[in-house]
Amino acid sequence: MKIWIVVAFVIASLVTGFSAHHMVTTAPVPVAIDAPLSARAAFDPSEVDAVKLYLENHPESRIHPQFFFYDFDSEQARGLFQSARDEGIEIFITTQPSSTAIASIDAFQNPGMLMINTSSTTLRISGRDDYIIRIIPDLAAEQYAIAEQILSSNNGGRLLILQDAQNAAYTDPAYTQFQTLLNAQDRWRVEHHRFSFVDFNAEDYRQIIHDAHDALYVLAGDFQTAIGTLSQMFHRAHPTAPIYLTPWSDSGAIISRLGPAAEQATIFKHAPAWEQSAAASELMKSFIDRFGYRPNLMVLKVYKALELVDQAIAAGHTSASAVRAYLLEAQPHTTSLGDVPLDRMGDTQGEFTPVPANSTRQQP
Amino acid sequence: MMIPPDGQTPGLRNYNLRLEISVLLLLTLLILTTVTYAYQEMGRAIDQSNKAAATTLSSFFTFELEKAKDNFNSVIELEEDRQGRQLFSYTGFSDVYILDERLQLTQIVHQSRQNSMLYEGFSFGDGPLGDYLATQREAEHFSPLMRGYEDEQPSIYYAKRSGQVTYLGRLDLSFFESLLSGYSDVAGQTALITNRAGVVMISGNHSLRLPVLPEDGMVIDSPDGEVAVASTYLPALNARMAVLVPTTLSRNVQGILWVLSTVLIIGMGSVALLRNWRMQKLIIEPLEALSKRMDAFRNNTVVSDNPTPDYVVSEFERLEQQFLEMVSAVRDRESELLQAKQAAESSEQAKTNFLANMSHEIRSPLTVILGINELLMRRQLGSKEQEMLEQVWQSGQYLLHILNAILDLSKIEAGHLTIDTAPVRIHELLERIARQHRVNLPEDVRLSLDINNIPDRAILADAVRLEQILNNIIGNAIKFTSKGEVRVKARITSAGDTQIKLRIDVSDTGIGIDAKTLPHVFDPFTQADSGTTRRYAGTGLGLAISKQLIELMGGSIGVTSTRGRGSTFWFELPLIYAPKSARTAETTELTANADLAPSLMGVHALIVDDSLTIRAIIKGFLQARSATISLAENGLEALRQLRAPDSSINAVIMDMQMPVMDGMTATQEIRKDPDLKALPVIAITAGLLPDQREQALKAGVDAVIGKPIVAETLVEVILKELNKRH
Repeated sequence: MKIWIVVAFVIASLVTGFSAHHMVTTAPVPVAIDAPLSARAAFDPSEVDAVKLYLENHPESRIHPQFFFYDFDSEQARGLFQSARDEGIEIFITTQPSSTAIASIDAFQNPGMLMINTSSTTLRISGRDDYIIRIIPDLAAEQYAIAEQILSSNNGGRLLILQDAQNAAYTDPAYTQFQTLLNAQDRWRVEHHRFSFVDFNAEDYRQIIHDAHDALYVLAGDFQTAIGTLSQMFHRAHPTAPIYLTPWSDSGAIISRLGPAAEQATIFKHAPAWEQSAAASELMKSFIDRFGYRPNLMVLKVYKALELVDQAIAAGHTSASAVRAYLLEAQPHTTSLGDVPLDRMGDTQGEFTPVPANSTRQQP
Repeated sequence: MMIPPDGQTPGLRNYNLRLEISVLLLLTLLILTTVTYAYQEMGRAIDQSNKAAATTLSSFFTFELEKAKDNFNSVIELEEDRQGRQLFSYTGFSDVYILDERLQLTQIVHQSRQNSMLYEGFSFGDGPLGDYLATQREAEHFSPLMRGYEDEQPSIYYAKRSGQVTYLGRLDLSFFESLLSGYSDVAGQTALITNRAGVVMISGNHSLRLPVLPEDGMVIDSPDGEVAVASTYLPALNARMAVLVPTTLSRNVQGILWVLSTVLIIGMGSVALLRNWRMQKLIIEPLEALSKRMDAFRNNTVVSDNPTPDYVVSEFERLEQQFLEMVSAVRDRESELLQAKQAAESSEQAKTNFLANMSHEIRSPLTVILGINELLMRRQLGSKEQEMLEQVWQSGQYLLHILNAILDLSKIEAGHLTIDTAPVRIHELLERIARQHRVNLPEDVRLSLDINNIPDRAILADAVRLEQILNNIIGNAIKFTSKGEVRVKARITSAGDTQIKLRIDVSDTGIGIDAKTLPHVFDPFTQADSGTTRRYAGTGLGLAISKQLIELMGGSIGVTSTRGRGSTFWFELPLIYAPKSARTAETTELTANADLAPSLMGVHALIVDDSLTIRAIIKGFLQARSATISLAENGLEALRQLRAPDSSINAVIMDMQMPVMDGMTATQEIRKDPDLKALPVIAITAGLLPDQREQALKAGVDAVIGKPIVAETLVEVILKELNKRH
């Protein structure tokens, strides 16, 4: 009789333990993902649809996405992180530009909240022992690549730089970096202008653009369509002059506004450029087939970030500290879109590839 | 009728409970299905109503688009008069451009706002609007809802080709935004328009942060609470007009339905419980009580120990009454059966007593007859007289045989006969039986023995009964065979390590048995026919007893026969080998010649019997073997002689039934006396029933010899008992 009681107790313990283990290892893990608020009530749904596509492709994923929206207001964005934290969310995947994210950096200095950053290139994040994992290179590497390309070209010596003043947290240090690098040679004479996308009027820049220039560098981010408009205006004035664009111009809306300027425009993309990666091209194509529109670059970044978080969760890590430790220790991380090598500060190094905008327009 | 064992068939209490639960579950399912169906139908009706709102808005939207288009076209007709361009501001279009064939903006005709990303010289080629315009064949058409090139705001463009140029107007959507906002505020339902991918382009509620509109019927959270999506297609713009309807109403109705259904289910459950409880009181408990009373009745306990419950329904009262009547009737019948049983038992006892008395009454005179006959045969008489004495001897033996057969049959039928097994060597037994039968074999009959297949190994069997069976069958075969052969064949038909099956066939070339009689040869008191009885004599009990004995040993017996050609009787017995260390039973062959019997020199026997004749006969048997004899006519006299100081008596032959003091009492006294208790006491009795033998042995006798007394047997038993004491 006693042996049966012991056997029943052992079986009950095993079943309970297994059930508890099963519940713990299969419970959904909330992950916050933010997306930008576009004009008025309309949004660019690229990020949201990227998450949707990822979960459709990974039905076994334990990620339970929670969406938050920012409207490029840093204080509003900071509030978003806090409200997500209040809801018990510890892991955030953010697509905020530097100017928006910068106000929230301090919130990620201690355990409890982990940011997977896909879009802020500000140097304020670089080399810090914090709870921010950035899966793109910072602006230093980016500006180095662009400057090197310009320096190696033979198209005269008059460079027009149009800087987005609205995203100064990114463009100011970027411009400083770029100028430092460009000054290594005294071949280029720079004409630098700041502009704002708020109440943007193209005619205001006609005279500047129509002055004598040999090249244009639009130092801007946030996938603002005015980049395309300005580039086209420049191209009309200087049909053979090259136009250099940052990675944050890689969106269907900007490229469609380039018009004929696409023939002379070059976008510096994170290597390998998605046009040159079979996996990334296939993902973009499946995205367009699934949702019926061409998304911006952030689809690939968000998708990659989700894969990294999913790997950590699959390895049994669900807290901010555990996921951070996993991502920093279990190197290198391989995703379907390529490797993500992280240093001990959670930064990644990477190269850039100049891709003609015209070829990007033809993809996929 | 088969009564299923407990636990195999559910009881009424369980069955009723299961039935109630099943019905309750079924009704619950029915209610839930009905409620779900009603809720879905209601939801469908609400969806249709919401869709109707979206359709109305869509129609209004389309109407306004058509009106704007008409106005735009009217102004274009005035285009020759450049003053007419001023009228564009009244057409509902915020921006109007002229494009060349390459879709390059050549002229800004009208611009209502100061800041714009467009400028003269801007090319629409390669963009979504340019792609769209290039693919349209109609001269005039609206673009899909898209982000405006001027300011990223939601925009609808209208294009009308006129000669080499295209007039492109951007609709001022502020009116529509106001319309959607107004509708949202008044109706409490957010109205919005999405592009073909579902991306929200114009919303009547700016606080709503909805990136992509879900499918129709989906429920989403909004700042104002939970809302359901209802939309309709806007073909003119390749867009969707949607309204987000608060689900408060449907949720409330749903809540009411669920509450109602829950109350209904709980109510039904309560009714079911109440009914179950009443059912138990009214039916199940009375039935269980009745069942208990029936059990009590079956177990012969007092029915009234299980009290009658309070019956609520009359049917159970009637059932109770019928039960009591049945109990009374059964008790009466039981009483009658008991009386009949007692009568039968009494009759059986009487029969047993009769047999015992018969045995005693016949054996005692038979002892005298055979005893005197034996004594006479020992005398030197003439051959004629010797022949007559021989006939008396055979008749006495036959009478004894009949008596033993009747006693055996009686014991078997009463279940008193037991099989006592001991190690036996079958071939030795068969050879000995054959030797005995060959002594009296007719001249023309040969008795052969085929025992080559019998292993020389002892088996466990009741040798006495086996010999009895073989003597019956072989004796019959010899009796009914006047010429030819009686053949006894023994073989092992199956053999294991320890178990065997022994089959013995006894074939003869005698008269055989006709087919009609064959099935009855093993019935008691049966012979082939009355003529056979007359010719061959016999009780007809031998085969019946043999069959009973064989079946008692777990075997079977059979016969095949052809009238006039002979018969084969066979039997088969399951037996086991005796352990190799076991000794075989001593089977002694009674010596027919008294001269070869051992001497009783030195034996002083006291013969105790109330019959003077019996005393004389036994005295004659023993004196012929040199024994010293003393006589006593009852137990008391015997004790007196035994206790005499000079008594040299060393063996007592004691009759069991005597006046004054019977043998049983006398033996008990001997066993109590320290000086006498070692004396061998051999009981002589005419009662050979098992319990009679048992009583004698219990009283202290060492051996029991049945009447009629065979001299050799008596001598052997005396010597055996004396030897035990030396």
